Amino acid sequence: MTVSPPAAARPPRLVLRFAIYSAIALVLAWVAIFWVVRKEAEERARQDVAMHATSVATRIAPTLRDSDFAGPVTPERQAELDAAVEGELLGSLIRIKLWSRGRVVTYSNDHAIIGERLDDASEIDGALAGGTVQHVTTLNAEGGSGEDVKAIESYVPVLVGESTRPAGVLEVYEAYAPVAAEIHETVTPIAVALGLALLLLYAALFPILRQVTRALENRHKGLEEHASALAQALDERRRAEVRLSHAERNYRSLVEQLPLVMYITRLDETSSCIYMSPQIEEMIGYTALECMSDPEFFVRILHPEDRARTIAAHREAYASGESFAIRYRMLAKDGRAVWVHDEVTIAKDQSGRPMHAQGFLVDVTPQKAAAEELERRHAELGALHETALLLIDELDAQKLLERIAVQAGELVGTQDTYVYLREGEELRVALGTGAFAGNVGRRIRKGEGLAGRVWESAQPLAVDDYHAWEGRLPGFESAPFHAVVGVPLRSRTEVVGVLGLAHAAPGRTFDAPEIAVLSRFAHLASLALESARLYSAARASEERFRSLVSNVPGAIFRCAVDEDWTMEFISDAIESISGWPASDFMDNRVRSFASIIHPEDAERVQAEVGQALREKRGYSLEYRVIRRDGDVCWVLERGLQATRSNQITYLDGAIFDITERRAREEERARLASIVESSNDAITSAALDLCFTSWNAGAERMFGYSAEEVAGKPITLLMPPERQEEALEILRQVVEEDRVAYLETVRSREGGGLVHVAFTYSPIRDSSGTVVGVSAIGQDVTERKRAEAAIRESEAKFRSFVETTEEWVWAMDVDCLHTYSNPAVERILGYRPEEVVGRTWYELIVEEDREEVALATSAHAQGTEGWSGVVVRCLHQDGSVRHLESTATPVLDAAGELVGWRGTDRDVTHRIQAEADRERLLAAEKEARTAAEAAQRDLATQNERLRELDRLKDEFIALVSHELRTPLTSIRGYTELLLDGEAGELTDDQRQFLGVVERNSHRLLHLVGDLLFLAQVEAGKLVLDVGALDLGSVASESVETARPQAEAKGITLTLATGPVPLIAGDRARIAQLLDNLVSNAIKFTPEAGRVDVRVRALRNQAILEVRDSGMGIPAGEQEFLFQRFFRTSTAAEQAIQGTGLGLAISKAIVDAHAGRITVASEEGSGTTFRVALPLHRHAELPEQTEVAL
Amino acid sequence: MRPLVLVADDDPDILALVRFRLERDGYEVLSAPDGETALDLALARTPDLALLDVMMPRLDGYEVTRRLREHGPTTTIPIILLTARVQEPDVERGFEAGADDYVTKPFSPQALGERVQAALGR
Repeated sequence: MTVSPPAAARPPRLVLRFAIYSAIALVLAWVAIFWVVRKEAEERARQDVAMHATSVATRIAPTLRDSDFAGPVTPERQAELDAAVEGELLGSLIRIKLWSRGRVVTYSNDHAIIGERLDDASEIDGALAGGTVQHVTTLNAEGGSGEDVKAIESYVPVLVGESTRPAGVLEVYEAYAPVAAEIHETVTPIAVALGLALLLLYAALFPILRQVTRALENRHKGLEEHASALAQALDERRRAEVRLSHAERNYRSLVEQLPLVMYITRLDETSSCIYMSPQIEEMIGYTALECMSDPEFFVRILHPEDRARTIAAHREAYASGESFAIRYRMLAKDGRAVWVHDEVTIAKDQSGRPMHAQGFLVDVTPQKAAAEELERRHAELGALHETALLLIDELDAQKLLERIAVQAGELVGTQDTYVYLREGEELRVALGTGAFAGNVGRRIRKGEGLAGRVWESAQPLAVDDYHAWEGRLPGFESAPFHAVVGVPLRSRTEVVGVLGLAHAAPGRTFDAPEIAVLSRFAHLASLALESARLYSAARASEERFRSLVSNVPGAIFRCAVDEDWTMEFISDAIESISGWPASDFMDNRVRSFASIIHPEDAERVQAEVGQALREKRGYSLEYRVIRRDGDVCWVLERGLQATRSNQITYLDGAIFDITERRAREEERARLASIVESSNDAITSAALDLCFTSWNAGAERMFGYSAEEVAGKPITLLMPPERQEEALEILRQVVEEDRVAYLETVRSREGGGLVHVAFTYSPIRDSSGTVVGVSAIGQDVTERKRAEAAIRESEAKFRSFVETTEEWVWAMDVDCLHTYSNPAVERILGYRPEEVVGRTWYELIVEEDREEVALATSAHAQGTEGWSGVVVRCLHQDGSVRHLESTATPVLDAAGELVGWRGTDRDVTHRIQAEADRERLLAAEKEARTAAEAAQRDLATQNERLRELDRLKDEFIALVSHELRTPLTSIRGYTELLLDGEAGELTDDQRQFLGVVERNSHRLLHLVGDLLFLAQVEAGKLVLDVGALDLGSVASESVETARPQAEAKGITLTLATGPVPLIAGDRARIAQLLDNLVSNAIKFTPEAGRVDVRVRALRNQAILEVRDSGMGIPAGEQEFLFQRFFRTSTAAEQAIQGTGLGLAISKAIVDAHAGRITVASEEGSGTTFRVALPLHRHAELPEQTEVAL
Repeated sequence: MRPLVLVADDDPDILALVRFRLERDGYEVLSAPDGETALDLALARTPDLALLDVMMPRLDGYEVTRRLREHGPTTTIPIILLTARVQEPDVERGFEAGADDYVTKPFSPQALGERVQAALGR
């Protein structure tokens, strides 16, 4: 091949080119814009002209008449019009014409062509239609006179008078030159400006262009250099080749003259050919070039039977480097086998290393011809056999078809093949290769085309030149093949398809042997196709089977009859049953199936399966397997012996999980056994109330056997008077669907009654409908009897308990009384029914409750009773009773404590006697202890008292000082004023100061009282005791109070009997008397009485102060001697007082070891009575006169 | 010459009251608002009689009395204590200190004047 280098063309001057192009583009743009602008200007000018013309027409219209348009105007009228238009013909307006509607010029200011009619003046029509028509012309183009210049004609319609229809047309000529000048004036600056703008743009663009083009140029230059280098290299190589081929040709011409085939091959596996002389083509049909171009050529054309042998011989020689000769067959291009004699020499280089093999081939076929015919048959068969094997191996239908096509093609040396397969009454192209690749899916009917005919005749059919064949199908006119052959594919006798092959090369035809081979091949292919079809059917069937197996609820298996139950197959369901994946069991891969069978069942399984096999029958057995999670699972296995053609025995079967069913069955069995073993009579009846079941318990209870009662009505057992009751209950059970209980009497077989407690329940079917009734009956005859006995016994005990003297009781664990005998009423005052329902604690004195509760809970803990415990209880009347309690625990059947029973005895008298004695002893002991303690405390107490004394003293001193000091000033100054020390006083002043004086005195008195009380309370009241005549003290007090009494008109008397001297503090006793007397006066209304009486009574002196006052309410008397207490009446009547007087009086009396009492009646008066002890050595005073 | 009476009381109102009364009765009066002043005045002027309040700041009436009795010129002058304390121990204490008489508060100015007069033996 010659490769011409790219022309080393000079790179174009890109810069220049771009510059020129852009310049041209810019100039063109300039021209275009200029043209547009000019056009616009011209249009504007024209419009101006048209407007000018219209205005002229408007201006001269009034001077025009219809007659001016009727025809050429008269000379007179012409003169008139000339005058009219004279004024208009100024400036650029150079001529005016009038036209009639009939295109006749009726007037012209230059007087030319008036009266002429111009047929081609179409502008007139335009103007008459209402528009202005314009036109560029020369002045005299339509006739005229004078200078002929370029002008613009404007035709304008003229309206005369009121008419709306143009009477004619006015034509105005306007000189073009001024218009053009105006346009020029407008356009020139624009053109110049635009030009400049574009120039600037160009100037800006140019450097960019330069840059771009320079880059392109550089690249171009690089490519160019590369191309020239390449061209040079190629040139050299070509020259070298020429030199080589020159030498070679000399040898070759020599070799190629010889009457044998010369060759040179490499020393490789396939003996690939370096050189082959052209004579080879005569020998085997392949050109020398074909031999050399395919490295595998030698191997490929070797006859298959000779191939291995020949190649082995070659390889050996190549290794040893020794020459050898061998005979073998080659397959010619046309399929013939050519026997050749091959003389091989190994060429070596100078160092003796093998370089290549060379040799010559001689066709020895003629010698072999006879043998060859024989062998051809063998070869053919061999090929077919080989093909058949290939085909048989392929089970996938589509792949098989491809293989058939390829194999058939190889048999006759073509790649253009097709296979038709029958589909109903048509043949369909199932596969096409080479030229037929596009025909897949094409259909033909019987008799149509080549394949249709082959089908019809069921015979091979070959056509040498398809294009010339009369049966050619439409659409195959330009088919790229010439010779075609079709052979039928048969299944038994029926044609199931057609195998077709074609040769593309003209002249290549199918000969008879080829057709025969193809026919045989077709037969094999048919078999293979059938086999594939069967296989795919089997596979579909197997898939169905597989899905069936995997969907069966149990595990399907096939296993060997051995100790392990080796699984050949077991479906995945085994995983859900056993927890182990199915694959574990296949061929005992991980574990054997026997290993998961429960050890207790393994032997039985072996035995039963063995038995079934010996008897050649199926088996069904249940056993346990140990699941992966350790649970035991019940399975049902059904199996059957299966024997394969190879006489090996297998088990086919299925394993189902029946754990649940088994559990249900066990449950049912358990229930049944419970029912059967129950001591209760358990029976059932259908809705017709006839017995349907009858257990052993029922038989024992009623004496009838199950057979005897079967189907009998249930009334069989009922005494007549009990039937109604039972039927009503049963009706409720059935209709209201509920459980009912009934305790009744039933007859026994052979007479006798039995007490039965029945529980009736409805029986439902699976849909929940009640279909019968069950009855559970318990024999309560014994219980009834026992109950009666208990009742009798209880009555006996009750009468005993109820008549006993002791309190007999029962209580539960919470000490709540559940029983009490009547004795409780005698002991505690409550009736038995009042005690029952009360707790024990409620009856116990409050302070003992906690202790008793503790003790009781301890007893409860130990489940024990108590004995001889004395408890203090409250009698209903509130008094305390001592009860001696004894109790025993009450236990239930389980030994749990449920309460106590016991008796209580009243031991109050005994206890009290004991208590008295103890109290006396205790008191004595206590007194002794107290005395000792007092002794001990005395010293410390004295000390403390002294300290208190001191504090008290200080307090009192402080208070008296602080209160008395201001009082000193008040009273002192008041006195000064009253004494007149500050001048004489008016009566009012004196009176007012009297009030101040009196109140300050009250205040002083109060302070004194308070201090006195404070002293008393501090124990600081020190009495200056001496023998005292109470009568004289009383007399003094009465006299002191007399003015006060008189002021209120109160009668104040004193009665003094013979009173011995008392031991007393005179000042204090006087204070006492003063208090009592002034109090009495204070609380006695005007004109009342106050009587003071002193007398002796036994060893006491009695002082009484009686008033006739308002009295003291009884409820207040007890508070009377408290500090600051004031009676309600005193408060109501606003009687002054501090409520300290009586408290002080009592303190004084107490200090003298006397007693003060009060007796009062509301409304009638009060009497204070003071009793004072007499002086120890006192005697009655000698004087016994009665005082005044 | 009018007799000189020393009056000591921490309450100025009472001081003024006593002073007024005594001056009306024709005495020359020295007044002291506390015990210390009273002692100084008494030692300096040797009054004919001293009226001393018991509860006074700095030196109380008892103390002033006791100190007055320790010095020559004042050992013999009559001393009357004015006191709001009426308890027996208080009275006794006054006499122990050397007082001649005592007047309990509140007192009547008239009565006080009579007591003073009596003490001066006039």
